[in-house]
Amino acid sequence: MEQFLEFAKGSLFAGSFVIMVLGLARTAFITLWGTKNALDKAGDKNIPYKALIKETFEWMIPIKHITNSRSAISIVSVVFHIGLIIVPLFLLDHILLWQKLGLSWPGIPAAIANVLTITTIVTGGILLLNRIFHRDTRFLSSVIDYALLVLILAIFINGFIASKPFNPIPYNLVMVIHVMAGNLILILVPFSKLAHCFLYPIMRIASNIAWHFPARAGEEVNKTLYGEENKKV
Amino acid sequence: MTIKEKPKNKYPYYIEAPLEYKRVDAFLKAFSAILEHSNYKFILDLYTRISMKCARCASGCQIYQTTGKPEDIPCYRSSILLRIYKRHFTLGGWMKSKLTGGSGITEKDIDEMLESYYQCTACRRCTFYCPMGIEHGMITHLGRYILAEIGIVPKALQVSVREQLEGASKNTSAIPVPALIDTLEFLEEEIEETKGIKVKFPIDVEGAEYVFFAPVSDYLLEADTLMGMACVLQTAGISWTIGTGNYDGINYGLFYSDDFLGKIVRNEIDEVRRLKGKKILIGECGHASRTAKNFVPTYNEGSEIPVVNLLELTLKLLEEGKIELDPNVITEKVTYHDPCNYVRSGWIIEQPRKIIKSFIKNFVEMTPNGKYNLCCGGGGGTVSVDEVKDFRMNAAGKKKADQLRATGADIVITPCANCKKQIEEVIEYFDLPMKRMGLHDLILKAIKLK
Repeated sequence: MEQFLEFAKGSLFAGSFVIMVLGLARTAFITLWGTKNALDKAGDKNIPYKALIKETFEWMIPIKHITNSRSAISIVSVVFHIGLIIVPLFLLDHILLWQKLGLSWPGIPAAIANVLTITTIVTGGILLLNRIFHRDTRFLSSVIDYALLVLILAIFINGFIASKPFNPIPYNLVMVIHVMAGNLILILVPFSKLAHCFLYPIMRIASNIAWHFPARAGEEVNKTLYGEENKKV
Repeated sequence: MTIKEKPKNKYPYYIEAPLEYKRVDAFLKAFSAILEHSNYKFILDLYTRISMKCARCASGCQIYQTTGKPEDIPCYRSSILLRIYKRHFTLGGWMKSKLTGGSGITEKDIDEMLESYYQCTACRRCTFYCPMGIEHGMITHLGRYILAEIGIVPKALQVSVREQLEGASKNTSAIPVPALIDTLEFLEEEIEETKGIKVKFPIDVEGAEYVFFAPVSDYLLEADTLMGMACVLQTAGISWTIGTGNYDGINYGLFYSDDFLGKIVRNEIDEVRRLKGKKILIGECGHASRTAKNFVPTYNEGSEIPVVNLLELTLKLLEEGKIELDPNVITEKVTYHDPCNYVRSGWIIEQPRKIIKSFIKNFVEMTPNGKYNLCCGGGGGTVSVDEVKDFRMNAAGKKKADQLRATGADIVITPCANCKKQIEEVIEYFDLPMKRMGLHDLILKAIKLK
């Protein structure tokens, strides 16, 4: 078990990280290439970047928007994201992992990490219950929407109880589950909706660009479908 | 809520010649051609990756708020087309279908889309509730465009565009030039009779600063709006003209076809060039203003032509002291309805309020208002489709009726031509104790003519 744990924390972690980076590079390429092409084709290239960037930041720290709809669950979601971003990156134990990949930055005190872990588990649990019991959210959800949340919760819960005195499960087993689930999440980031952590900054700019149509698109579509530029209404 | 059962007809609105077989193949072929030549592919790609399914948009959608049907949640509406896109046009979707045997688009999907995309009023309010900034209104627009390419489009919209692009009158209401000139002469006489001063509607004046496009239905239905505008422009000494080559600002292309959207905008541009005008002036209409403002730069291949909305111009003239409005004429309690096509982009929100507050003492806001205002319920061209009137009133219009009633106003100012028709019907249907007017209808009463 201990050997496998070392393997999971070592080669498997490095491999998962590489898959994530390559996957995100592919996503970044597709997105930026698509956006650039759309902008090149657009008949009007004036994009209000300043306003869109402002809006993007406003939604990143959504104080202004949080209460405009489903306030309680929105606040829960924001709190969930805080721990979700900070703990994997800045927990001291995780920094040891990052160092293996040649990355290094200061960590956060264990007490803060503990608090953030608990808030993420609690808020993540609420989000899961919301997905199961709120009629609208349940209607929209498919298996993957539940699975990702369960996976994230499993990682946080296992990571949290691993070194606690009240942990009834063998330390190495808990850690194996924790690390393997963590590796799986890394792999899933570019290929699932988790990619929003990476694509979020371009969303609003991209949506705006998409409203800027190519000047001859209608005629070109007609040519492809009907063989001539103009069709009868 | 009482919405009548769907008509026995397979289509919820009248279609001239619906394709009755191979709709699926035709849809995919049209979708593919549109993806190839337009700018939608990259955004669909992004939306399929980041749609979080949080359902926040549900509370932004007045239709869902009324019907309570989960199929009316904006995110679900969009997911129909996004699912088809993902399955048929992406590597991941193709691989998933091989692994799980998932089937592709079906006849049922097309039935669902043709209903769903015309129940959305494309008001784009839901975008303000989406943490990811997904433009569900754009998906509705695209869904309708693809459907139109396989012959599925409400006849009401199609015949209007046909008359505008192929008919002799070149406008959606089929008003011939002699009738237009008669109308304008009548309006001039009417102003002279009521205000005692001759005010001109200049026709085909070359080199005017503004070439004016109203939604052409105004010439039939909104005499006061037009008279108010003419009074403002003449009093302020503005050089403007109506062109007899093309005098219709309506552009239903925005509601179902990028092809027609472009052609109608180009016709506007051609008329401005023919008259050697400098700017486009659009009347009070919301979608006419948005199509010109947003798409003249796209389809204009020559020198720049600025687009100005009438409310922007009137406010400028008021602030420059070129027109004067009597603050003692309008005594009724007045509220103001923000058309979606004015406000979602943040373009025209404060301008009408500044004008109103300058001469109307008893003004109340409706709640919500401005950027977040509720759609009239007839947006996205649905107001022209009589077959869906029941839905327009009971689902889309009900919240509007409640919102209007809560203001306790005697008059609701409604600039947009689409909103004007819908709100008139809402007032009648729900028996609201108020009347709807254009802003320039009230300006006509209050303006001091020189």
